[in-house]
Amino acid sequence: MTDEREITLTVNGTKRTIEVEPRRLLVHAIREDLDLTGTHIGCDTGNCGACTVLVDDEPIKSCLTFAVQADGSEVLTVEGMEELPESAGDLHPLQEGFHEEHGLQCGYCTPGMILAGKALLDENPDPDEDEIREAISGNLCRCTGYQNIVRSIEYAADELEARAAADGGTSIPDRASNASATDGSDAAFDCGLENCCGGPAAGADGGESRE
Amino acid sequence: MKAAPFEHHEPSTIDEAVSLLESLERPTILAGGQSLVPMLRFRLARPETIVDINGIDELDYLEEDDDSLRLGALARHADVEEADVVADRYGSFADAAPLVADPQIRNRGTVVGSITQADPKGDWGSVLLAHDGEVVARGPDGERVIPADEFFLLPYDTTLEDGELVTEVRVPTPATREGSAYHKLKRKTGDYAMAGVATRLVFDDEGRIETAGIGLTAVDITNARAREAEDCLEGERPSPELFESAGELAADESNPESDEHGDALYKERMVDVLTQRALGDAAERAGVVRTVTP
Amino acid sequence: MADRRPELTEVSPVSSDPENSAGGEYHHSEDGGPQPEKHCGHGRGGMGEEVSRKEDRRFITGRGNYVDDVKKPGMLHCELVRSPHAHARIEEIDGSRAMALDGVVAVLTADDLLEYDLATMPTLMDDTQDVLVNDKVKFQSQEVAAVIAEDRYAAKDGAEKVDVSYDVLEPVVDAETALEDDAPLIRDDIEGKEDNHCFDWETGDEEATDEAFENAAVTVEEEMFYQRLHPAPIETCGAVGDYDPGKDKLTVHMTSQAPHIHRTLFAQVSGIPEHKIRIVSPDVGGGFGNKVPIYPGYVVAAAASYVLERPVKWIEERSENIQSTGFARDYDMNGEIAATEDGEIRAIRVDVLANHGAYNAAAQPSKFPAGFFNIFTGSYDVETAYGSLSAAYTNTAPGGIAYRCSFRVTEAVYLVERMVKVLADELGMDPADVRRRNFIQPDQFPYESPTGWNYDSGDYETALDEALEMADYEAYRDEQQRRIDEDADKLLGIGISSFTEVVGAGPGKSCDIAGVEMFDSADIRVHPTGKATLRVGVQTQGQGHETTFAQIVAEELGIDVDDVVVEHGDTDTDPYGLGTYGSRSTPVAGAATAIAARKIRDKAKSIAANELEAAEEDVEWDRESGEFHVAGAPERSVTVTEIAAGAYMNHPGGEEPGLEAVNYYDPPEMTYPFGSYVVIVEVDRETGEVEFEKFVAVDDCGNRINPMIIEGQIHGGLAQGIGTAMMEQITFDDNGNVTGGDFMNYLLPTAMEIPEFETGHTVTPSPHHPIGAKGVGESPTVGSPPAIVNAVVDAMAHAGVSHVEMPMTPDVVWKHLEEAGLERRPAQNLEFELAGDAGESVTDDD
Repeated sequence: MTDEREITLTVNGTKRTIEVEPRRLLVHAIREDLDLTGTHIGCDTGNCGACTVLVDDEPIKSCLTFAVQADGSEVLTVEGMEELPESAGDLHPLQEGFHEEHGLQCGYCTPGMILAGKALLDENPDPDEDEIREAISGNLCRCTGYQNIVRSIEYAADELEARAAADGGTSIPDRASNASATDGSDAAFDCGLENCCGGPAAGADGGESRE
Repeated sequence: MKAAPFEHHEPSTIDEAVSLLESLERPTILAGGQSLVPMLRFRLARPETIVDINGIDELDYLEEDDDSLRLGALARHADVEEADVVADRYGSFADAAPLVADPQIRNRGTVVGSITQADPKGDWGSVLLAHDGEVVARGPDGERVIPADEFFLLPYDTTLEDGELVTEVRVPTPATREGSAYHKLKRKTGDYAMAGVATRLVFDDEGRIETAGIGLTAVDITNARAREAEDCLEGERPSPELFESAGELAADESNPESDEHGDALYKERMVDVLTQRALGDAAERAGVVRTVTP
Repeated sequence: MADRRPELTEVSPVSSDPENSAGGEYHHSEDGGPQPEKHCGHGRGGMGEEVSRKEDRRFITGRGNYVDDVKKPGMLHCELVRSPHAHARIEEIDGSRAMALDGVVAVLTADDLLEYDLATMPTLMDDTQDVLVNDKVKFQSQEVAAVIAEDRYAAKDGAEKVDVSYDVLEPVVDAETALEDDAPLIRDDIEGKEDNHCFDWETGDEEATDEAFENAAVTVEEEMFYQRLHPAPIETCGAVGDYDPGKDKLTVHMTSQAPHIHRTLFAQVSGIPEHKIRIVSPDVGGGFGNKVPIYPGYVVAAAASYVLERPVKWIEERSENIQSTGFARDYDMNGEIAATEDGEIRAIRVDVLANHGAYNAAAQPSKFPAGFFNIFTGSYDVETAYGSLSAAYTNTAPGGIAYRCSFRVTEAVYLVERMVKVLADELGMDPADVRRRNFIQPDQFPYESPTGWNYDSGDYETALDEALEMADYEAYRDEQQRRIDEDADKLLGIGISSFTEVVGAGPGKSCDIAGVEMFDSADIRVHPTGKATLRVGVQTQGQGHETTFAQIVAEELGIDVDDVVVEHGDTDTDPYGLGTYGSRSTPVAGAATAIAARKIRDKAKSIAANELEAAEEDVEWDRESGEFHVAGAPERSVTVTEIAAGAYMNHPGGEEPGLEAVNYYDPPEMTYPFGSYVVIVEVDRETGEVEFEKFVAVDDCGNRINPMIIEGQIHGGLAQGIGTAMMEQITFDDNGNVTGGDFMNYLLPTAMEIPEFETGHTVTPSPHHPIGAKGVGESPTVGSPPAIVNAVVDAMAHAGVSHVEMPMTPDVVWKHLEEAGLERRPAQNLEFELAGDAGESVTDDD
C-alpha cells in the first residue's frame, strides 16, 4: 500500500472529501467510498461504458481514471439526475425516456447510457439517430439491441425541448446559463456543473481552453 | 483488475515534470491514461511512480500558427474532433479523430499520448508520418525536435530517451493545393484498426502532385511510411491508374502479420484499397474534382 | 400505468389437448379449439397490454441492487489465483508471501477445502469439477487458490504473491486433436479413463435415413462450425457469502438465474442442511445462460465466510468471466439433406464433434447430453432423420451451456436453416419456396417429429409470408439481380430463416436439473385491501417478470396491475422453482401464476356468492369487467378487491379465512415458438465489409402478455445474433492460451453495428398452456444467425459460394469474395480534374 491522499470531489452537487490510495480507480471511489452504487463495472479494459460518469461535464469512463485525477472536479452520476433543474423534482427526461420507451432490461448498462445521453443532449439538443448511436457507441448493452435506447434519448430530446418551450421558448442550456447570469433565485441550488443548476454554460470553460 | 501501488506526482509546469522524471525511480508519464490505466490494472505495467501531467496547463492546446498545426500533450482526441481549424484544413486529422476508440475515451485520451505509446495499431502515428510531422520533446538537456520519420522504432518503442517528455506534435500548415485523408477498417466501433492509411497530397499549379505522404497503420511493426508509393505519385497528375499503382506499391511495402484482426494477405490487400480511397479523398480535398463516369 | 392499449390479434384455430389445459375459459371453445383473444384491453394492465415496466424506476435512478452493491459490516474480499497454463500439474502452492502482506486475512487452497469436504463440486451434468485445483490444472485460468483480504486491492496484491510451481504439460484445445490416439490425457482423475472421449450420442433412425440418402435424387452436404461463444452479460458473476454463526445459517447473495437449485446444490456440496442456507439473487445484470451453473468463486466465497465467520465478497473480472465460466456452442457440424429434384426434403443427417472443455459442465436436463439438438429437423415435415455426436474433453474452460436458448436448439436451428439454403442453391430454387414446399402444415399439429418431439402448434407459412412482405422480398430479389448484371461494387444478399424452437422445459418426467424435476411455481397472496403479492420460483435478469407476471395476475383476478407486486430471487420466501433459462419462465412459471390466480378466483367465487346472497352456481366471472356477478343480473356484482376484504374481515362459515394460493406447475409438454426472419445485406467487394440494409423479424410466441416487452426481447436477441454471426468468438492458441478473453478481443456489437429492426408477429397460441403463451426471449438469438449467414452467402451464391463461417469479419468475407473472383479494387471509372485554371481532365477509359 502507498499513502492515502485526501481528495475533494463535488458529487451531484455535494462536496465530498475522501482519502484514497493513488491507485484507486474513480469508479471504486464512487461506488465504495461514496456509496453511490448506481455506477457499474462491466469490464477491465474500458470497453463497456457501464462506469460512465460526467466529470466536469464530459462523459468519461470512471474505470480508466484514478480517483486522485478527479480531485477538485465536479462529478455527475445517475444518482444526481433527479436533482438537475430540468428534472423539476422528479425523473429527468432521460430517465423518463428510458422508462417510457423500454430502453432498459436488466438495467446494468442503464446509468452509463443515461449519462452518455445527457452529455450528447447538452451539446446537441436535437440529435438524429446516427448521432445518438455514435454518442452511445462507447457503452455496451447486451439486452436491448440499442433500438429502444435510441428512442429513449429521442424521447428525452423532445421532452426537453417541450419543457423549454413551455418555459418561454429557450432551450434548456440557454435557460440554465441565462439563469445563472441574471436570476439570483436559481443560485439557491448551484452544483457548479456546466449547464446544471445555474453553472457555467458549455464552451465557456473547458471546451475552449483546449483549443 | 486493480493496479499495483504507485506514487502519484502532479507537476504543474513542464520544468517541474522534467525534473521529476529525472529524479524519480522508474517513472511513467500519465496523460489521458486510456491505454495506460488498463495496462496498470492488468499489472502489465508496474511503475513505482507516476508523473501525471494533466495539471500542466501549458500543455493544453491545439492551435495553428503560420508554420504548423500544434497539438500540446494534453490535446485530447475529442479536441481534434471539435476544432474548426481541423475540420476546415486538416482532412486526415478530421477523419482519424472520430475513428479513435469511442466518445468517452476520446474525451480523455490524448493525441500525443497515442503517438508516444507507439502502438503500430494506433492511428495518429500514420497521420503524423503522412504529414511529415514532428515530435517535440523536453528533457534534462532542453528541447529536441524529432522528425516523425525518426520517431518510431519498434512496437511500443520510440527514439525518446529516458527522462524526456513529449510536449507537442506538429505538422506543417497546408499548402494552397493540399488535401489529406485517413481511412481505417475495423471490426467494430472502438476496436483497433485491421488496417489504416493516411494520405496527404500537395499539388503544384500545373495539377501535378508535388508532395505525397502515405502513412500505414497496423500493417508493420510500427506506423510506417509507404515511400515507394509516395515516389510513384510525385510529379504525376492524378489518375485512377496512378492511384492504383500507388495502392499496389503501398501494399507491397506493408508487412502485416496474421492475428485476431485479420490475416496478413487480407491486410495487405486492404492497404491497397484504403490507399486508393484515401488518395481519392485527399485529391478531392486539394481541389481535384472527382466524378464517377458512367 | 396501463397507458398503452393492446392490439387485437387473430388466433388461428389449432388442435388442443384439453386434459393439459388448466384454463378452460381462456382459449378454448366448446369444441376445444382456442378462440380469438377477447380479454385484452380492459385497461387494468392485463394480458396483451403494453404496460410500462414496474421495475424500471430503481434502475434508472441508480437504486438497483446487484451483487457487487451488497455491502456488509466487516466484509472481506476474495481474489482467485488462476493458472496461467492450460495443462499443468501443481507441484507446490506457497501462500506465505501473500499472508505477510497488510490486509491479507487468508490464503485458501484445495487442501484447506478438503478439510471441509468442499474441494470439488458437481457440474450440472454430473461431472466433478475442482473448486480449487487439487492436482492438475485442466484449462487456462482455472482456479488454483483464493486470497481473502480486507479490501479488493489488498486481495489482488495477495493473489500476485501466491507462489505456485507448475509442471507444465502438453495441452490440447481442439476436439479433433483431443480425440486422436496420441493426445495427452486430460481426465486422469476419472478412474480407468484412457482417452479424451467425453460421450457419444445419437438420435433418429440411422438405417432408414441411410436408405433415404441412397435413393435420393439430390443430396447436399456442408460442414459448418458453430464457434465458441460466451453469453457475456455486462454484469460478471459474483457472490457475497455471509455465514451467521449465531443462527448457524449461510446466506449467499449471488448472480444466479436459478437460486433454488443452487441452494440444493450448495446443501449437497457443503453438507449444510438446506433449510440453513439462503440464496439471494438480487438484481441480475443479464444472464443469458451464464449464471445457470455453479462456479468455484461462489463456493469459495461461501466457504471462506463459513471458515472465517465474516462476510466474503467475490466479484469476477471480465477476463475471468470470459476465460473460465460457461461458454456456449463449439459444435463442429456436418449436415446433409436428401431431397427430390423439386425440393422436397426426404431426410436429414447430421454428425457433430462437440468440444466440452475440461469438464462436462453443460447446463441442461441431465437426460439430454446433447441438449435438444435433435430438434434439427426444424420447421419441416421430414420423414426420417439421423444425428450422431461425439463429445471431447479439451484443455479449455468447461461448458456447453445454453446461451440464450434451450439447450443446443441454436446449433440445431443453425444447421437446418443453413442446409435448406444450401439445398435451394443446389437446386437453383428460391429458398423461400423450398421452405414452403417442406413446412409442417397447420393441420398436422400436434406434430411428431422423426426424432421424437411433439410440436404443439404452428403456422409457419403465414409467418414467412408476413416477413417476406415486410421485407419487400421480390423487389430486393430484382435489385440483387440488377447489381449482378451491372457488376456493381456492392453485392446484395437476402437471407431467410424460418426457425422453430422448443422451450419451456419440463415436463418433469423427462427434464431435470441435478435430479430435481423441471416444474415451476407461484404463490399469490391477496391482502385484506385487495392488493396482491406474487412470489415465483423463476428469476428475472431483465426479462421484466415484475411486470408481465403481475399482468397475468391482473388479468386473472380483475385487479389493477399496479396492485400486484412480484417477488423472486430469495429462497427463504419464494416457492421452489428451477429458474429462468431456456425461455421457460412464461411457459412454466407463467402457467403456475395463472393457475394459482384461478385457484384464488375459485375461492373468491364462493365468497362472492356469500356477499351477493346468491347460489354459487349462479355466480359468474366477467373477465372484461373483472367482477363476479349474478347470472342475468350484471348490476349485482362484486370485485376480488371487495371479496378480499370479506375473506379477512367477514369470511363465510365453513371457509378458511384469507385469500391465497400456491401452484406448482409441471408442464405436460414443451412449447414451440417459431418465426421467420429476413435479412438483407450489402457486401463491399473491395473490403468484405457487410452492412445491414434491412432486418425483418416476424415472431410467433403464442398469446402475448406484453407486446412492448416482447419487442424488447426480440431486439436484444437479434443484436446477440448479429454479434454471433459477425464478430464474437473465443479462440485459443496452441498452448491453450485464450486469445479472445476480454472485451478488447471478445467483440460485442455497439449501437453502431446494430441496425434498426422491423418486427412483426403472428399469434398461434399453445393449446396446452393455460394462457396460450409459448415464451419468446430466445427466439431471436436462435433464429437470426442462420438468416444473417444465409444473406452473406446469398450475396456470393451466384459465383458458387455455398458457406461462410462465423464470425463473418471482413477478412473472412473478403476471402470468399476473392476465391469466387468477386473481389475488386477501387478507383475504377473515375475521372479526375483539377478545379479552377490548372490541369486538364484525365479520364479512365477502361
